[in-house]
Amino acid sequence: MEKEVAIVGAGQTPFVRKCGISISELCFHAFKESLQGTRLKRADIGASVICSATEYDKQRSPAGVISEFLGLEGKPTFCVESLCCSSSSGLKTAYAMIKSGLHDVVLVVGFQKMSELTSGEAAERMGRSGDVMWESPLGMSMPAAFALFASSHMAEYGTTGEDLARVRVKSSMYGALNERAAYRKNITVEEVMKSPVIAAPLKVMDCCANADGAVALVLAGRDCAKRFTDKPVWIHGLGASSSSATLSNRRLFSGIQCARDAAKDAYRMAGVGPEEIDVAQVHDCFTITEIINYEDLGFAKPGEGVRLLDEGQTSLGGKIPTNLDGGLLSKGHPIGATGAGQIRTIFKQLRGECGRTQVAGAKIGLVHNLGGPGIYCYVTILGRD
Amino acid sequence: MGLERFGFKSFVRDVKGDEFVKGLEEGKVTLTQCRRCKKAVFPPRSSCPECWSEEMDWVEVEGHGRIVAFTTVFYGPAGFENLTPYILGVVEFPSGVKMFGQVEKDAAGEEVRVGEKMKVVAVRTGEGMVSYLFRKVQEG
Repeated sequence: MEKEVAIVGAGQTPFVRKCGISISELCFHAFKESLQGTRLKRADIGASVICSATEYDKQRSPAGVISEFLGLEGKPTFCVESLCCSSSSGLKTAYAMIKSGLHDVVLVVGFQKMSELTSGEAAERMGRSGDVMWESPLGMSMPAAFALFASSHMAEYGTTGEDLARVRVKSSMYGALNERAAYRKNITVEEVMKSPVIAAPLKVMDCCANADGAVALVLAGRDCAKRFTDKPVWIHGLGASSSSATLSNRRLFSGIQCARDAAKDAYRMAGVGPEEIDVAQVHDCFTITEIINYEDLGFAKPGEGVRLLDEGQTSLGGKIPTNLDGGLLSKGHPIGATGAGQIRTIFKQLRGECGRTQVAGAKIGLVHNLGGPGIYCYVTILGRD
Repeated sequence: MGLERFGFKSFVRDVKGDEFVKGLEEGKVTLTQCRRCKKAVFPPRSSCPECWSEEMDWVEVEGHGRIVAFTTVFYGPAGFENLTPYILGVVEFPSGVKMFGQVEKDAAGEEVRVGEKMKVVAVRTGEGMVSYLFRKVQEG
């Protein structure tokens, strides 16, 4: 069946600890790059979807300010937010805008500037992404939520801190190969195990770091995609779901239910199963999350995620190469930009543009993007054809 | 006497919650139960998530639960720096209700474990605030 919507251009700023520029300038650099190598002109953009988590910088309603800066005044624009999967939900929104026939070409820009806050202030914002009435007042934090999941996974499957450390080792190897990643050093298991504990069992090196960055994706409908590029990447599957925001009402702690549900929907829409995915990006906000993601996506059975990693199946040359751009752990996690960043990596993989980390002959790729402690999940399946 | 007085640091204003806070003041940890379909709900609500009835009763949390997941937090968000290390956990009660909360630090310094038996107790957290904590129950 012919696919309706394609990604025709993508651009990304380096992800850095402190960008030193405004959010508009961040978005401009990403947008400018997204048009390079395409036959797109700025005037082709029919609308923009601006994606970012709230309260990290001081600009209220950033869509208007950014749209103006990008030269898109006069075109409809608005913000989409779903915490760490804001730009994946932005892509879904743009897909619907095109598929419905309302627009032919839509720009999705995900951005985040986190460096205006101290890490304690940023952690406080993240603590307030849980239920602010009942759970934030008790000291909820993002590492704490995922540490809770880790304790359940460890109790059920015997997972250890060293198992988690090996996730970081793999990530660091690919981060070292990614010029746009914030962390470019190879890390050892020993270094992970010696790093200070944030929320047990998660240590500093089990956690992704805050970062500044922006990613732009240009989406076009079937009728015009080939006008703009000879190598459009088609959206084959979209799945999304939500789990309770309150940890009190989660039914599953050793996995993330909304990720399982979102994956099922995406696979069904794309008409593929996990074994047919050639390359993937999964939401490795913490080391434990990558293991859980493998299991939620059906790359491994529950409890066998660590084995999949240790067999090298999620490294280049393995069955399901995952996070070959370094993932969130090595790139850094500029919240609103992360989903679009994951999508851009798969876009490049499917166009054969990944150089040393290229998965030979990749035809179908998957992006798995969580929001907060798995309150939201968006799974996107892309194809070369 | 609303929810502004609940927890270790509050972020809310004008959201009611008086009954819950009053219960904690009186040493009672409560949840809400739907009068119509009997569903027990935590966090407490003025409406039933199951059948949408708006007739909810306040009921004391009874008995012992077990730890489902836990962590010791060494680095807390802004406002919680002075509390670290603190232990967070989710406890499941026999009725099926689960509660997220802080776990009382064990006097003997013993580690918390998944499956460990806990009861929930009301506590004062300083500056007129109240909350609840999970406390270990001796097995046997």
